[in-house]
Amino acid sequence: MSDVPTKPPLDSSVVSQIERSDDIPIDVNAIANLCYLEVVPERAHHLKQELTDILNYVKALSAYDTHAVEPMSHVHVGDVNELREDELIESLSREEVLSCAPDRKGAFYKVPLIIES
Amino acid sequence: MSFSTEFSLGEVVRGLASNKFSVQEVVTEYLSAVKGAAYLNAFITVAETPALQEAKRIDAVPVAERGVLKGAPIGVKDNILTRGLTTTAASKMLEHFVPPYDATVIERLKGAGGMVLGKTNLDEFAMGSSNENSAFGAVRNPWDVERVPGGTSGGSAAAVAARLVPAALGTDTGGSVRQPASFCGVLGLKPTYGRVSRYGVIAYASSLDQVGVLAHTTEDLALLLSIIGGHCRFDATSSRRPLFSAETKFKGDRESVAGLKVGLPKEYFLQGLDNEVSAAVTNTVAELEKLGAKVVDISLPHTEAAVAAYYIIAPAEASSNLSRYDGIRYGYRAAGVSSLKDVYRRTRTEGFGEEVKRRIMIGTYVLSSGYYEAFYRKAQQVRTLIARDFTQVFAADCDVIATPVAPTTAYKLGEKLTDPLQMYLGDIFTIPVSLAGLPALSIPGGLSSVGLPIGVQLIAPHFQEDRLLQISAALEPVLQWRAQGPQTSWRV
Repeated sequence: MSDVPTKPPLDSSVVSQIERSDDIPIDVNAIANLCYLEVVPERAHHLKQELTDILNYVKALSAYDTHAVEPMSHVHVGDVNELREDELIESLSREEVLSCAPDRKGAFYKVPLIIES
Repeated sequence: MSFSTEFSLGEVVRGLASNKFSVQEVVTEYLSAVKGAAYLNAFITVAETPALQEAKRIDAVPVAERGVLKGAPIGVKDNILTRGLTTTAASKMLEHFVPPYDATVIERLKGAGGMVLGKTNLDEFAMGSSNENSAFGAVRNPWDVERVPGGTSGGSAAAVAARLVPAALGTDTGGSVRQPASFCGVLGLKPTYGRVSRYGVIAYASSLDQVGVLAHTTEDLALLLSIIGGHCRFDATSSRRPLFSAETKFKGDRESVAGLKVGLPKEYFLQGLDNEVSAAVTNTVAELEKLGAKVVDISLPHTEAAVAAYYIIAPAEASSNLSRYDGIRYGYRAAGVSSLKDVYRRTRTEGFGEEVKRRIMIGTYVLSSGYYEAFYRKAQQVRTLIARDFTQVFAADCDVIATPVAPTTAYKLGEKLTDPLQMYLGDIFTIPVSLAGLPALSIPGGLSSVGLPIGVQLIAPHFQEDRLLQISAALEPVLQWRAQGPQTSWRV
């Protein structure tokens, strides 16, 4: 399996950060930016505290020995790559789908201009 | 025999089948009950006109030609898509969303002659534990209207407990069918992961979500599961393993319970567990012993890691699943915005409630570059360890596991709202089961000294829902939970 790219090594600074009892540094605005949410400035401090408390709680997992343990993404480990025949079947009509659109014009969704700044 | 809203689903079906009453009569009575219980806020949408029209249509069909449910109505949690009937996920984001298709479970329900009376209230996008996170108001517990019904299937649990519908569908990701069932004194079944199709179920955490059933009788759970469950071509995680048919009877006779080994995991009965909750479990298990079961002490050593693992995995999956809500193809779109990115940002900020945003942010963080290995991947590895604990005890020590459902009975509205982490810790007994994908049932195990229901959780190996149903059927005449109903002094 020499041509399979190896995973990048665990970032040791992150690991030690997590294992220490210090608060994990959280940049609320950076996270919000990644998931397209806006943080109201008055809420930012409180939100940061809430997230810090939760993340401090979950980082307790670092105490568990998971050496050579496979990560579980599907509980029925053998039931993967469930394929079906590639057959054409009736799906939703364009009109049924577009009927849900917040803004449409004919057969198209209307969206604001994508402005590159 | 005239119709009563006290009937179980099975009794409604038999009455319809023998023409004792009509579907229109049944639907009219339930609609009236729903109106009288508006204070509970169990429903977001009541399908009054469609239900009455459908009732009229079904009444014209000879009984022998109808599906097995004969026209009986049930409640459906409002994160399950119903064609032509507003489906909101209790969120402003989908407040006016009318789905163009039915979820598989709804198609199967209708195909079996059932119908949807209304869409029940829930915590927004199925995130919460008390049904206080709904954009359309909290649900009240029919046993004590100052208390929460539990969540996130709080509306379904309250509706069934208050006899507004004979049964209801819910969803369970970390306990959201079992815990409200416990708080509201009804049966709540979470099937094995993959047993019921998730197609058309608004996704929260895809490796955990399952549609479940809330009802008063074992027969009702079995009937609905047999109808909605089974392989679905549109859900690649649904299992092809065979499921029992609608005609299957779970007699719960002594033979089905005698010799069963019931495991009590020590990690679920630590010092500090409420005495009455603990007693409900031991009393229930004692009844099983009288029927010939054996009790064994077991250990599930990684139990303590479960809540932490869940609150990494579920928000991570939610952050991915909820990225589709961008204001473009359906749902809410923020007004007065001129750039695409601002449409995304403003739509999502205005459309989502606080808990949803909190979980999206946690999920985004634990999946982000530099943190993914330490958080998400680690949590998935711990998940393997948790699942292995169960596999090992089922292989070597016991046939079923009995635990509390929740550390407490229903708490007061507003009591846990200021501390999200405290709310999360209430899921301590239901979460490990979800992470392992096992089937589990909450059985009403008695009332507390102030008259609040206490649920007992039974956990079986993968795909052995029939074992849970046999045990439930055996306990039903003994515990007689149907006889204990909530007071209805809140009714107008």
